[in-house]
Amino acid sequence: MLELLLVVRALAGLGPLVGDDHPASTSTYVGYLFASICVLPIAMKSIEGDRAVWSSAVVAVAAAAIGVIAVRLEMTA
Amino acid sequence: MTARSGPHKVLLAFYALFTLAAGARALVQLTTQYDEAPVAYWLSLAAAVTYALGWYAIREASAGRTGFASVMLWVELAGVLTVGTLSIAEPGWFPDASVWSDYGIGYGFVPAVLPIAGLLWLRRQRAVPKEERVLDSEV
Repeated sequence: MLELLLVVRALAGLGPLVGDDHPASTSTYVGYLFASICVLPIAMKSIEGDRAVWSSAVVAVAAAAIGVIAVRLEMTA
Repeated sequence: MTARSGPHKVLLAFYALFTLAAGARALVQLTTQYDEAPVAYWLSLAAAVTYALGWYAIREASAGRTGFASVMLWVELAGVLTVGTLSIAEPGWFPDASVWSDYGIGYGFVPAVLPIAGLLWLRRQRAVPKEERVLDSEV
């Protein structure tokens, strides 16, 4: 399910790259898009098989990062 | 062998995140707008390298080898404080912000808190005998 949503995120993110209205800095935009897709899977992988309370904190950190990345993605689009 | 769980997991997440954030930022700014503020951008790259080494240091420390972390985290703290102070004392050197400008204000001061949190964790890590540490990690 997460993977499916991330594929949607990736495809939607390509919009500004192929449209007429290009991002001011393409490399910045691509960087944020890449991060927005990779951060959660890497975080989930790092706590695989680990149900301790600290693993929830790891997911919280990743989720907060995604929030910041999403805002920056919109700002650079 | 790495201790499976514990607060170091959160530290590792932050360090990985900041390696990515500072590294990507430094590379983009160094390659696309180098002339605007080369000193600030190189310092951002140095910050990224520091976070990568810090990540490795904490991973080693979580497995009981605390030597590298006890040096690396102080280096990182010194870096944040030095760059943060310079950015205020010598604003002319920083026409554009670096990752550690104003003690990491652009990142919610997380860069200033991270090495301190890391050093506190490390102190506890060294205080706990190894057998107990393994038990602690299984809670």
